[in-house]
Amino acid sequence: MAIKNLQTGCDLTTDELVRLVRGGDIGHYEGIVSRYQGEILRIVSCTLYDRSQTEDVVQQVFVNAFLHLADFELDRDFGAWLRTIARNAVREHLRNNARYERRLKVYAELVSQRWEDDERAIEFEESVQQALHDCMQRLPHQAARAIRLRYQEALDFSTMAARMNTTAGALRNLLSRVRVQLRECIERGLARQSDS
Amino acid sequence: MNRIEELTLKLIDEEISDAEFAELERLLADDPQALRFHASLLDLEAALLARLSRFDVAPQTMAKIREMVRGPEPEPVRVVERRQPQRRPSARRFVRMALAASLLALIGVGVLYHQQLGSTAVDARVSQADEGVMVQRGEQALPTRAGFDLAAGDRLDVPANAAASVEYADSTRLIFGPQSVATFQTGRGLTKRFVLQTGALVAHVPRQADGAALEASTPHAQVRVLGTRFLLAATPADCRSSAVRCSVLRSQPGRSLKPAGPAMN
Repeated sequence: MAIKNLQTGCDLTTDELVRLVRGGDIGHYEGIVSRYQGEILRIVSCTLYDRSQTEDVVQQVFVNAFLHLADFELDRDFGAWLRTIARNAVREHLRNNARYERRLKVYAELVSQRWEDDERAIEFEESVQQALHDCMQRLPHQAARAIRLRYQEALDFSTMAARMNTTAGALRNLLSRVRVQLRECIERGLARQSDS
Repeated sequence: MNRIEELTLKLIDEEISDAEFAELERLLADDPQALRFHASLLDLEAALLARLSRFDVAPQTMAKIREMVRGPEPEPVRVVERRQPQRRPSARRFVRMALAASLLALIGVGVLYHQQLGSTAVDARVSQADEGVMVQRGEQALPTRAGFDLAAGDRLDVPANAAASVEYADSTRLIFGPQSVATFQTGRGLTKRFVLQTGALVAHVPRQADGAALEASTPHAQVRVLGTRFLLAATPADCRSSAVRCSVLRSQPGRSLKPAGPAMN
């Protein structure tokens, strides 16, 4: 995303934005948040929190980064620095949430191992997103609608069922089948990507 | 759909019973293939959430940061008028007033005497504290919340993912970030002092009166601030600050206080 200097009309790099914020022009931090929030959302999503909790964690990551902005060394990769903050925040949240800690322990350990190598972790996340994008294109209309209502509109099963003119049980089954199909499709996509 | 997929989807949809969860744990412990199915379904869930939960946190984040830096707007004060019946001053009232005046004078003398001995108050109080923020006072670890008065020697501990604000009587505001530790001290005269052992903070220091200042130390450097907004971070290797109208009093040989950006005001 291009963030322009209001006076010169030129695109600002992240380092320029950081310099402006450190210089007291806090408003420019909004440009940093807008530029990196998608990337941070990808990391925070692995907590599998609901939308409002996810938003809270993403916000907290940017607040933490703001408070430590004096630590950031210009000319280094700001995204990598921010991802480290995000991963620490996620680990901390999972530790403090006993229910998630127990239920998602195996997955949290796996994700944590993946995060040890920043480059590979990003590569993996991007590959999964690319494969998901391709697989979503091939979903039948009803299946795609169910996924959209569940994840984009964050509706519960009974509201979704009412919207789709079906029963909650039938909708649960549909959504389960679609997710298993997507999982298999993504696995095939990842295998193809690694072969090529 | 196999049993692992079924149980993992129930876990995702928060519909799994304790018995089913125990079964899932057993299956995951025994079978690497089961672990792969489980992990890839959770990866899919995370990817769907990231792809479709589009939101823009920029406005709320900025509002939070602005409030941290500036402090909350003062709430309007409601004045409730009460009509008191008019009374004529009586001799008893004059006696009461004289007694109150004497008491005030005694308190004043006491305060002066106490100041000469060396007060332990630092004229600062916690104005906001997230859960888990503690003050270590001597041997005691005290849970802290808004309104907590700080004393000299108090150590403020801010855990990860939490923040805390401290406000001095002159409206100097310090916002401590996660994993910050700071100790408050009495300064000479009108000087306010604290040591930031670790972590980072944003400070908003109004222009200081003659002879007043804020002195902030980290393990490697010390700044004296006469009025500005600045960020200060204490890390094991270094100390950085972006500030204006602040002077470095001293730093250890080989260590320096590096201004992290241009002047703010």
